[in-house]
Amino acid sequence: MGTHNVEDYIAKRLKESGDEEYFDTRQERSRLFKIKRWCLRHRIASVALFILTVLYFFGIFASVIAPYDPLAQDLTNVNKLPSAEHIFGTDRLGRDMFSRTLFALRNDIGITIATFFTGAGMLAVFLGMLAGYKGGKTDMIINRIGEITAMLPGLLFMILISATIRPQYESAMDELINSPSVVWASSGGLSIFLAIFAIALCLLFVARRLERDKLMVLAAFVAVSMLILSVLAWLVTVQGFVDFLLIFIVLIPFSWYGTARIIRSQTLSLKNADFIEAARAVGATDFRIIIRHIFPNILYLVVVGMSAGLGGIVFSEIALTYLGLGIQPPTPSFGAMLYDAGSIRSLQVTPHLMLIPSMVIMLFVFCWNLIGDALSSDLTLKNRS
Amino acid sequence: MVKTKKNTQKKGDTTMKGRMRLLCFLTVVTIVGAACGSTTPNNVPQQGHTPGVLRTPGPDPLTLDPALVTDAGSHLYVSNIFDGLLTMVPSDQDVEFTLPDGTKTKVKGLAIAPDIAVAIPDPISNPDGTITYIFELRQDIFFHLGRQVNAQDVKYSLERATAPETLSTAAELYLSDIVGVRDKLRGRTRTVEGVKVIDDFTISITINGPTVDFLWKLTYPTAMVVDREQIESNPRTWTRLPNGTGPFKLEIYQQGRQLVLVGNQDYHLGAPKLTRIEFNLSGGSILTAYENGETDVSGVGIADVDRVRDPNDPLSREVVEAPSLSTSYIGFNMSKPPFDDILVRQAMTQAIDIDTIARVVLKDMIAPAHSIVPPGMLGYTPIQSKLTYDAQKARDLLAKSKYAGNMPTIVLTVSGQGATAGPVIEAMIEMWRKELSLNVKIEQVESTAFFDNLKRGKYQMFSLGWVADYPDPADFLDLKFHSANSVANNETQYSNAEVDALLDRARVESDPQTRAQLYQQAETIILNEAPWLPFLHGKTLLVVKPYVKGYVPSLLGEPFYRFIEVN
Repeated sequence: MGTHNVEDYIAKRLKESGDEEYFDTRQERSRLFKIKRWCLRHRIASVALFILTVLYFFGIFASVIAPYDPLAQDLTNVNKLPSAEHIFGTDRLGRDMFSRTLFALRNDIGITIATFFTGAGMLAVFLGMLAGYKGGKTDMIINRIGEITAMLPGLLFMILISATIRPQYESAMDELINSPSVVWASSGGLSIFLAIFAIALCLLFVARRLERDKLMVLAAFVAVSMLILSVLAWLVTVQGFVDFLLIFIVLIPFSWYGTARIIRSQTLSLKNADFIEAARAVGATDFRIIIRHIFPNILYLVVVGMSAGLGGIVFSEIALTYLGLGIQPPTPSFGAMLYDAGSIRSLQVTPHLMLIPSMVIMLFVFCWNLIGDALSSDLTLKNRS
Repeated sequence: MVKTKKNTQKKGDTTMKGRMRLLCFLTVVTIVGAACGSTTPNNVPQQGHTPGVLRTPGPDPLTLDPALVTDAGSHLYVSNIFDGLLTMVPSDQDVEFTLPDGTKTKVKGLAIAPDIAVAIPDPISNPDGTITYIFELRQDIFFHLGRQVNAQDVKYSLERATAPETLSTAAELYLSDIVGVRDKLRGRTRTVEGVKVIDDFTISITINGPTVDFLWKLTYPTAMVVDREQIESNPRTWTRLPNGTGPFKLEIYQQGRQLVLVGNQDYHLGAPKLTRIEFNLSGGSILTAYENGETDVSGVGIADVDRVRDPNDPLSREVVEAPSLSTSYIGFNMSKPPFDDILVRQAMTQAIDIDTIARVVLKDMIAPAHSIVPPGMLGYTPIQSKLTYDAQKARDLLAKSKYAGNMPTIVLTVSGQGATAGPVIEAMIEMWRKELSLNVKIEQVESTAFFDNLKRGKYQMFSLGWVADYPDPADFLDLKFHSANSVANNETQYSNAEVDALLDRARVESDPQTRAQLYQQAETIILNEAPWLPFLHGKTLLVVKPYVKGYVPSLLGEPFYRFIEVN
């Protein structure tokens, strides 16, 4: 695909010409070997990747792993330092810090996943490509809107929005969550969504093989929407979902433009590349060019942009919650934990209450940034070569 | 007066910790902002203390207009800048307190003293049943800007406070005993019939009937004297530098940063011993600042309680611990479901184990409350609520309620910002969840908006505190539960004809013992109907530097700044 298209083409021709040996080595290099080589080249990033995998695993399965109810208080057992019974200790209401950390992690993972799969990610890619490829008025409008959102002070604006629309939003969400269709979606619907997602994914691969563009786009669309639906259906069951959905909605207008701008510029340079010209010359439609040639070539950028940005998104959530505008108590969240423990005295007497959440946040944000760095260094190297 | 998180004096009250921390964050922003602009001398950190200058943390006032004061944060400053006809001073009589652990402490009581008036007048009974007080004014009283105070100023101040356009919610509470005030508040008349100027230095005030606590009510800021010339020439911005007659003048007020009062050397009741009080409004780690000698007074938070009580710690010698007449409570708005059902209110009250919360979460720093009127109130014997913690009973009550099975969403609104609403509220939320399977949501609202909405009865359930304005049970029961009071004061919209009758009788009862009994009867009924879930009685826990003399918080939670000395 994309730059690899040429390679694919060569590989295909080679295969046809019967040079099997060359083809095989390339196949091997493109899979395990490549991953291994990447890990060796970016040792720190691969450690980061491993840590993130562990964190995501713990977060997603928080309700299974957590030894205690994160809200249950035990007033006979408060402010305990870590012990065998409570490995992260207990807070000032005797709640198990390990369970609370896991559930707080789950919120942030929910936000990163939601940002990745829905709003900001998709919006940035779509608008960036549209602006770059179409040019003219479309480009102008998208860019001006983006510049306006970039000009507004993000955090302050987020505070303003979540402070003003919260009451209406909450009552609307209350009704929505208790509506029968949402209740169905979160119980039985989830497996159906996932099944449709799997079918759509298979169809996508088949369509790609068969080079049926329209079918491919349709399958991709169905797959993505099913994925969004199942992510949402999972999130509904997560306590405090309503709060972080608001954060997430509030974050969208401020988090798309950066990535979109990079994608636009890449699209602009790709638009005039030889292989696009060639494709156009043989009569490919705009649609086909975007799907087959431009999108695969910017996918890399999307991954880099998102991975560097996710740390920041988690951080915005923590900042908003710290200010009382994000996830509302008693739902566990890192912002609230830091707020509770954020005094010198508390650091002296019950250091675990502050150190454990801040360490997890640090790992989370740091790891995403390290991976983002590693990927972008790859990208610059690739561009140079 | 309403007590919120803003009350810095009550550092012991955990609910205010959130406020302090947010302010800390904001300070960083302000300091950075200031660094970019011009450098002001106020930002230079002061090392060591200066005699005559008190440096203390303070709350940000909601208003500096005496007519609008309802909260403790504003009361602190306004009562030092302005004067009324009468004032409150420490009395010779001690009040005995019984603490939850059974020990008894004695605290100086409070008494009424003349201020702008020459003496406390005797009531004169009129044939129509009304009572008249004739106040003779002192002739040596001048506003800070120099103009002499006369009877017209007193009349103007009272009429301004009760004018509908002033939007004072306190006037209804503290001035409605005066003949004609209720009409004036509703906009039916332009003047107050009961206030008459006799000559330049004599004024008469006529009240509807023999009310025992009327003179106490006159000590509240609503009745303080304001400068007509200043207000009329500058109606919007005069509160930035209000012109009063009090022991201190306002020098600087920068919201969220600092408020400076300077001593009024010509003060008619004797010049204050302090030349300057610097209130730090920006919060931060005040106890650390105290240990570094940057502030002379600091509240003590829960995290530090063990430390300041440890006799080996040097701070333990500087501790000032004083009970205050205040009650923190959860209010159930009886006009909103599900709290129109008495069973829900009773169930939610009985599900809370406040003794354990006070012991564990607050480390016995603050006494758990089982009554509305705090212990230590004059002429008052404490009574206990029958609705004490009993999870099984609470469940049974809730099961019998008409909302069992179809409970509407319950939102608890608290004032303030920050990630959490404090451990006490969180502990209560969890108790409701555990014992009654009720998921109560917390909503935090910035304090100005909070009071605005609260006074319009918009909240279903709210957390608030009430600090006595004067040491009399009427200040709690009559003001907060009489159905004649508007929703701005009777926030739970409690209405019970029997209670009203008892309160009306107590108001005019001159025998202290009978009066106390009447209030107890009323309180017993109110407690059982549970419009309030009282959970804490106030206590002030402070550390004060040894060179500060006379810093004793009164029963109302505030020290008398004019008697404090810094050597």
